[in-house]
Amino acid sequence: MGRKVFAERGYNVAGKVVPLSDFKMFIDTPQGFKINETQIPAIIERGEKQLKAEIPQPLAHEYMMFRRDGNRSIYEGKFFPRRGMVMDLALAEYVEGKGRFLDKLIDVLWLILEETTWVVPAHNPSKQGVNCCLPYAYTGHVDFIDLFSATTAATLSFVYYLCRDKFDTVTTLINERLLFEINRRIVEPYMNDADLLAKNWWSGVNGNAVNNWCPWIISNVLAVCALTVKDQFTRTMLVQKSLPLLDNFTSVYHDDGGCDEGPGYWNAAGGALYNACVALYDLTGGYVNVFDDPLIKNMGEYAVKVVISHNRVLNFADSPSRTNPNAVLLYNWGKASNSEMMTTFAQSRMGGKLPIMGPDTSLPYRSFRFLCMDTPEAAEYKAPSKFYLDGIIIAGSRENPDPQKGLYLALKGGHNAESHNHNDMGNVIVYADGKPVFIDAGSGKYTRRTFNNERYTIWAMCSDYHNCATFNGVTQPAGGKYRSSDEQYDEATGKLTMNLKTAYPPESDIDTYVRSAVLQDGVITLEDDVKLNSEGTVMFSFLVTKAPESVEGNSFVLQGRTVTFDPTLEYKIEELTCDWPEVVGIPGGWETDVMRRITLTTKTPTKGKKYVLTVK
Amino acid sequence: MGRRLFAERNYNVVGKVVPFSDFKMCADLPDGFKINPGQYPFLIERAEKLLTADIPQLIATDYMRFKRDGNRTGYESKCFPRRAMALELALAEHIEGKGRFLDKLIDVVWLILEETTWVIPAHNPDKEGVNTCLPYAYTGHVDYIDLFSATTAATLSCIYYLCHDHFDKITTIINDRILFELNRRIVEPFMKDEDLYNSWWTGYGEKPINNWCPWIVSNVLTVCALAVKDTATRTMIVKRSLPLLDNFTETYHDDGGCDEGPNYWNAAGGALYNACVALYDLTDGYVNIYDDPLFKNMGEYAVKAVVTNKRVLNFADSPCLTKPNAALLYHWGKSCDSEMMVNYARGRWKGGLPGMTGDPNIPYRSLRFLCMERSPAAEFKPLKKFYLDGLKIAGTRETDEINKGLYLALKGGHNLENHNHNDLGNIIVFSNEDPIFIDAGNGKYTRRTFSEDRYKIWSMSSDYHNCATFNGIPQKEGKQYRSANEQYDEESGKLTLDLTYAYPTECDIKHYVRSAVLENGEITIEDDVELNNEGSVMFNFLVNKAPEAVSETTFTLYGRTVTFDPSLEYKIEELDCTDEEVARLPSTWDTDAMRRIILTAKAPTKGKKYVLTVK
Repeated sequence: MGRKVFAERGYNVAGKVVPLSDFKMFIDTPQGFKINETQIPAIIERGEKQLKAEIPQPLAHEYMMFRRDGNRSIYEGKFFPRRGMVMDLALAEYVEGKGRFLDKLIDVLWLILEETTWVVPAHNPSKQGVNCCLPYAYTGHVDFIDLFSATTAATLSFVYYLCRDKFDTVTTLINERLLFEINRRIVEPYMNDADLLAKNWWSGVNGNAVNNWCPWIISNVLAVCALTVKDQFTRTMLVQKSLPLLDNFTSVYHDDGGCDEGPGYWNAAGGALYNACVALYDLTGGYVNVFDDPLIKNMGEYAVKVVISHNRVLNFADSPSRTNPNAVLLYNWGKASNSEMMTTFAQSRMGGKLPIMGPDTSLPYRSFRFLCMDTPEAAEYKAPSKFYLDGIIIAGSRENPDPQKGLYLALKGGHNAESHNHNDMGNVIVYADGKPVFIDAGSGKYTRRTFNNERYTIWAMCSDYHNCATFNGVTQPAGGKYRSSDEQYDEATGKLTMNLKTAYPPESDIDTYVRSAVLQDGVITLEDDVKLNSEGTVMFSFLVTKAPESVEGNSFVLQGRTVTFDPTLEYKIEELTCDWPEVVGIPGGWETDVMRRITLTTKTPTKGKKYVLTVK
Repeated sequence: MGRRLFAERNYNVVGKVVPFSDFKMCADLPDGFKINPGQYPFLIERAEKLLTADIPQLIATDYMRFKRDGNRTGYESKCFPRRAMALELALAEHIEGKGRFLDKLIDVVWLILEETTWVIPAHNPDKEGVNTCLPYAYTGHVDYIDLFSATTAATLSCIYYLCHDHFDKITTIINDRILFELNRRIVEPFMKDEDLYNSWWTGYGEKPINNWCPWIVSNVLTVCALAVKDTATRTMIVKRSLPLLDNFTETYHDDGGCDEGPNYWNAAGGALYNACVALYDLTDGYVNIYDDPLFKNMGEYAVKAVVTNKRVLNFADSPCLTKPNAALLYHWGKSCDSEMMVNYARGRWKGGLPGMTGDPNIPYRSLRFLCMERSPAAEFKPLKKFYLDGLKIAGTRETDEINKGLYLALKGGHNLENHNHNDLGNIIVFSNEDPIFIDAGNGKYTRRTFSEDRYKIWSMSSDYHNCATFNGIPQKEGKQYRSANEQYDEESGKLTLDLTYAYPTECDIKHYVRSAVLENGEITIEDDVELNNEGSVMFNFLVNKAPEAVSETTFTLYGRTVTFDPSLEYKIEELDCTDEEVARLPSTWDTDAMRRIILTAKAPTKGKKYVLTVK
């Protein structure tokens, strides 16, 4: 599957890369890099707030916590604010230019330059025979780039771009060291093929599948290249090297542009590819330009398609439910790729007003472009009544183009080795009038356990805590072979049917299992056609944010809607324990004190039947 | 002048340096390095307090202040406590071993390892064409060692020695990085001739050297002893240290007096002692100069400079409140068989075991001190008189009991001493424990302290010492401004100095001799002045309070009557202590305001013999 978007166009960037001395940002816009006046008061205000803030001091034992007990947020809670501070202060100094932000800016900057590593504890690479609870990269040589060493470098590149003249009035050592550290920590490992192969899995150079890390890091390396790399050969090589690596990312996508990491990652997956494309356009004077590619456009439109209501998205895969797609990103990307869906959606969200934006230390390049944009007109967005992502196998239907009105249904297939996988084949999401009926609990806080072999001991990752079936007590395992198959989508009704026998291991004793879901004439119908080899138990799980308003016989009422289920099934409801750090934040995301699971279980051993559940 | 103590003994250390794996601290002690359990409660208590203390954050603008406005304390007051924290936590973890100090220790150590430089702002070297308000040594290459990069390295070496097993249980990265940083920041520049010859403190350049030399070298030897694994490198470091230390001993007169003053003694002679202890251990006793008389005199100087129980003879650059380090005197005295030194320490301790902790400035000897046993009490009797014939300092006291009777000291020398003050002919007088005529002493260091503006700070200038001023012109700095024809009368303790050459020619001096003696319960200061033409003569006296009573030719201070020549007019003024360099001086003298008494010739004069007495 997948396409190599850059390779297809046969780019040869030699001779096309703009030298540092001539480089300009946002060359496709008439004004180039000129911050919109309306953003300036907030920029100053943020700078003033940072003047009063204490600079956090990350400590070694906090770095070590990740290996000791899995905690990553204490270190990160000091590490990230330093980046925010340095960027806020640099931008405030740039727009005001009176020097009052300069000292504090230099203080934070110098402390960042002194940090042994910019790689966060959770990403600190291993080294044979050494407990890498602390970084081994203290000798000067750096062999690994992670997300946050790249974002730090890109952030500092902007600090340099914005304030280098002011720094030089104090001492040339500040700029010299900034460039030295960026070169040492980013350019050198990026240019070192041996290091890329040996350590940097995110590049895909070993032929492995990549995820958001790939464009996120590369787009930030390109920002470093654009703003700080003086040597023309190095600039050219950085650009040349980036294109096939970005192709490693586009080639993991289906033509539908759907992000298998979920809408929470879209901003840093597809959104980082957009970031890279903007930087590449500027770096090559418009020569490298893939915005008109349909895959790039689909990758953008995916984020619009997965919007459920004003404040909820279709959080299949690894995503919190309350993520709002970045309207400013959608607007700019939509303009570049000529997508009315994206621009209109974004315009409706912005309502004719330019949001007050901060510089983004994760993806700074595009964020500076956004700071320069003009106010878009308001527009009315009408959500399409249905969509189908035939690559990642997600279908969605809605009763009413007004997202706060009527029923909403989505069903998901795919496989259980997706990026940031949850075991969730056949998961179904239902909303009524913008309110959650059946939900995907979503992702919580990351710890060491989130990405190690204990991942599926966290209930939020497991199929019996998604709206899926369980047979004979056997749930879906992780792995690419556990997948949906024979997916059929009915363009007319939006009904998606899938064979899910292939999502379960043999111990589940399934002979056949097909699930379909459709929203038609104001009724959602979920059909589970189950045949077991021998008599056994069948259980359907449904996650809900609150207990039903009423339960009677084979129906219950939730959010004012009546759910009717097969009379051979027994209704039960339970509260879910949310005391693990990975899930402790989930109830809050759903505005409830406690998450609940409804289980509908066969009352007696059965070989199965067609179970029908309706919501109306 | 001066002797090269190590060269005189022709040491050849090749084959004598103990390999890292066999090295033991305190090789001459029966138990080796073993902290006296009597120190445990104190050490644990200090470390427990540190567990909840914030680790100071070192920021760039604090570093930049030295070049911007001369301030050095903003940075140093955050930098130094980090070192102390690390060493005290390591000591506590070493003796207790339960791991409860370990995380905090690692936090502090790691932050120190992350610092761009261990060189403090005031010592940050220049680089052509660059404003080095920040360190340029961020690239990995280090070409300069200063006092505090060396002390930091020695402190980390001791921490490594005390806790390396504990660190390795967590991760080998901590020890690996400590050794890496010590090598990069200290061993490499120390082993590189070019870098070393550009470091003024080695004495290979034009500039005269001072305490920096033994202070740094002894700390490099500490790094060598505790943290350098390669025997060839160990040998070379030891070998290269001996001539450097000789460059230092060579600046001393045989009297062992420290021209930097008693406060620096701890880090000048005291650092030479530190080096000698490390060298002894490093060569298993082969390098041993403890029995040299100069080495002994350098130690005894500190005892001689004691004035009262709380004050020292702070000629040169020293605060008045310094007490000599008793533990240092005790151990040094033991090593060179000086009863004066040992007794002084015993007199202070009165038979108790003094509570001690690690010293991050001179850590090697401090670990040795922690091992000491309780020592019996002894009575300390100060010398009734002494004369340092090299430094030209004579001291006399009325009784052999400290804090009783009159005390007198007079100083000659020259005005290019280390940390020089223009102070030739300066006189100090105490009565019992009270200061009559004082040397204001040194205050806070700023950029100005060591710049061409040094003598704009009043406390550096001869008219703010107890010296004479002729025709309104004070002494100048420079080696040509000196005392001459010094004559010391062994019998009475009277010192006579020809001070004609202490002043520039504009003073119009034909002849100026000062003498001072304490005899029969009376101090007599004689100033024999002859000017070429009629002019003005003024005598200055710094006091910490206004006299109780004043008459035409007398005033009373602390119950003593000072009588001066009737041709002189008495005046008193308060001194302006608002400049930060002098702001702390009044409090060190237990007063709100420093004052200067001026006795000025009432009419133009060609001079006479002026006599002043205190009784």
